[in-house]
Amino acid sequence: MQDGKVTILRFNPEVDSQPHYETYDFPFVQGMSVLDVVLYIYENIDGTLSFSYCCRNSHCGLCGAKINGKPGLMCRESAAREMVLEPLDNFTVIRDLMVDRQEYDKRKDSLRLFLERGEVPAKQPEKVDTEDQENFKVVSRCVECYNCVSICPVTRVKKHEFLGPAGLMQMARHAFDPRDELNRGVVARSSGILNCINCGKCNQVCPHKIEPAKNIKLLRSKYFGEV
Amino acid sequence: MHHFATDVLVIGGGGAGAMAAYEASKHGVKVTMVLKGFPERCGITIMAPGAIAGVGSWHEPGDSRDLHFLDTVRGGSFLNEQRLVRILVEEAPDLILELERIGALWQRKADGESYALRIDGGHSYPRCTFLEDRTGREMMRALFGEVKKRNINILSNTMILKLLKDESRVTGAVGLNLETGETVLLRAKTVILTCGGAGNLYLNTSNPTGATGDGYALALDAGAELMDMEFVQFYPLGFLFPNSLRGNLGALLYYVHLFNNKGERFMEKYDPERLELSTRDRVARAIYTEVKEGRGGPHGGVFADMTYHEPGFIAKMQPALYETYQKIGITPEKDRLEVAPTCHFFMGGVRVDENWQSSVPGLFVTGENAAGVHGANRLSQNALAELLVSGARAGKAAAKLAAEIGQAPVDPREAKTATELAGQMLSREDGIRPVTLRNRLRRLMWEKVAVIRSEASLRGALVELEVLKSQLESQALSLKSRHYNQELVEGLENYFLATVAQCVTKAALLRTESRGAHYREDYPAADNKRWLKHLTIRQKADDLTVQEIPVDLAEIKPEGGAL
Repeated sequence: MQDGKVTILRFNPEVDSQPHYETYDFPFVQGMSVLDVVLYIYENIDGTLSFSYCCRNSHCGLCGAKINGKPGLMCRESAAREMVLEPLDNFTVIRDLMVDRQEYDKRKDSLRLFLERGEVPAKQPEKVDTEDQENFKVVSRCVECYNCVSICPVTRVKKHEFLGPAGLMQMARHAFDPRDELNRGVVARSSGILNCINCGKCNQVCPHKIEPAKNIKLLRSKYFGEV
Repeated sequence: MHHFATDVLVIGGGGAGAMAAYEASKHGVKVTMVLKGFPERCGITIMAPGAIAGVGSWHEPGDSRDLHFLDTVRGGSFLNEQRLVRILVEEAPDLILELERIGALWQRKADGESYALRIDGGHSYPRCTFLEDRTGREMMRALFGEVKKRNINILSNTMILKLLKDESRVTGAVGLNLETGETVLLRAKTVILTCGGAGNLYLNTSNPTGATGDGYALALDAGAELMDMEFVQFYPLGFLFPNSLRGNLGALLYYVHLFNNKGERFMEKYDPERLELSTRDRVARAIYTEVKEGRGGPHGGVFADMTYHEPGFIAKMQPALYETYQKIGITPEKDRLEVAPTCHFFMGGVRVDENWQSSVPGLFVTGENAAGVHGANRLSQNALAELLVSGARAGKAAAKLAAEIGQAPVDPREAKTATELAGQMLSREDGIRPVTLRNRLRRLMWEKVAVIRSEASLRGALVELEVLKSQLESQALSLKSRHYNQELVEGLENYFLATVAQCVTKAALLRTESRGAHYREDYPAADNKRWLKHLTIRQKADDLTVQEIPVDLAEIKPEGGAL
């Protein structure tokens, strides 16, 4: 066991006029997760430290934070002896590391994120194109942790014109569903998909290795004939 | 105070809740879901890596629904309610197809048509559909797609604290909006309770943080009966490190050899024929014994060895787990992983009828929150099937009942009383922190009411639980905010957990035999003459009263040494 040091950006809008950094000592063990560190502080040093988590193993997408400047799920990332933790960029901070994901969750409501289909197949289970199913499977791994949204430079400047990579991955699930009958290109366009500059930053922070930029490109070639 | 009225109120946001809401919405009534967390981000279903058991047109030659029935009842050591099991095996297959009709897509074989099927412990044939290692998430996607399409109202981040009743039936619920701190008074014609299990009762659990037995305690308080609460399933191989991963499922039994700190492959002592492929309960007991007798590792577990496989095998067979191993610095080709049993599932819950209605009229209970399907031990992959079947049955019946009856008045003063607790906790200056109390409770249950139990350990636990229960009244918080206060949630959940802990311990003390997941070292054998019975628990004033009731053995009986 060694000494570890973590600096956390604290902000409680009920009492603080602005955010400030605070540094805490913790017993560092090789292999411990970042979530271990914040839980240690919460249980032993400062019970007012606020952060979100639920499943502890990258299924709920709630424990995202900026770890030494890079967005990641705290349950998934190994702690370093010295760290800086900050809330995700491009989100409103509720308190400390807790951010308001609902502003993005709500944007999904207009996307018709369900299977659009006229008739039930005559025979079940039905035959499905396995190649199409591959892409559907990959984008379906998205847990909407919004790491990609927080690092997206287009979202930063065009928050209202661009839905962001995570929302587009939700849409892609249905666009890549071989059974879906809706032309989702219209919604893709109005969600600002053509604003994506394909910088690929989102690919580097996805905990489930979905490569949003690549899939956005696939959507664009499907609906707008881009190559 | 926020007032709200609906026809059918669904409390809980996991798969069983979403299925119930979806089904109820087909019958022309107003449906509202109330969730402790956020949609698709709370509940246990999102974590389910497994598969859905069901014998449909896709079945293998020789397999049948009768066989699925038999496997389930044998796995449950004949303590299952057989008419519920019959409903499970008959109705799960079409619901598996229905989920595809609303957007899920199950893994197929090379022909792109027939389902790829999984088999696991206790099933006679591969009969379980899945998608990668995240079947639960796929079910949630499909179901929540429908929830949105049908404009089902969702109140998220709202914790229910009490069910409301008049003399004859349930009339609604009282909750706390965790974003605003406001009291919410929900009037409903029928209520579907679907809050999952209570894994957080134990030091090690595979469940998410919100699984704190809310539904058991709420139902008990409303006058319903709990049943089979002594049966708690422990999966043998949970992670012990890092701490936040503690209890998450760490490895699969058929890919490991288990060793103690003396380098002995200890399963040779406990089950020399099947070794690690023995049943889950036996392996869990063996590990627990090795650690208790001083042959464990530094984190309180034993060592799972996977080094005997050829290079690349583990990475191929468990891609998600392999990634986790790498993250925590384990190379399964050369390192051993320390593991221990982890609380995985509650077979017990609220006693229900064929429509998953409890003994309180208008109160339905689904998924892990209900009892009866799994008996003394759950077969793998039957939980996801149960959530579909129970959700569909309860959703339909609750909607039909709601269409026939009127809204009953509720007394707003009751709502005030229910949320007073939160106010008291927030204003108390000195006291015990909820997280401290929680950790004590989890450790106590782990040491005395977990994998191996005895009269002495259980009596000791009951005494300590009384002390812990009295400390609930002195919980005080570091953070005084009413908005998004996790500490406040933990404090309120502790009330539910403490009640559930008493139920589990009392029932475990009374059942003087060993059966399924319940093991008494002072009564190590099953006793069919005495104990082919359920124990039910009711709350009378402040007391828990326990009763014995017969098991439904309508189709098969345990003759022929099937146990």
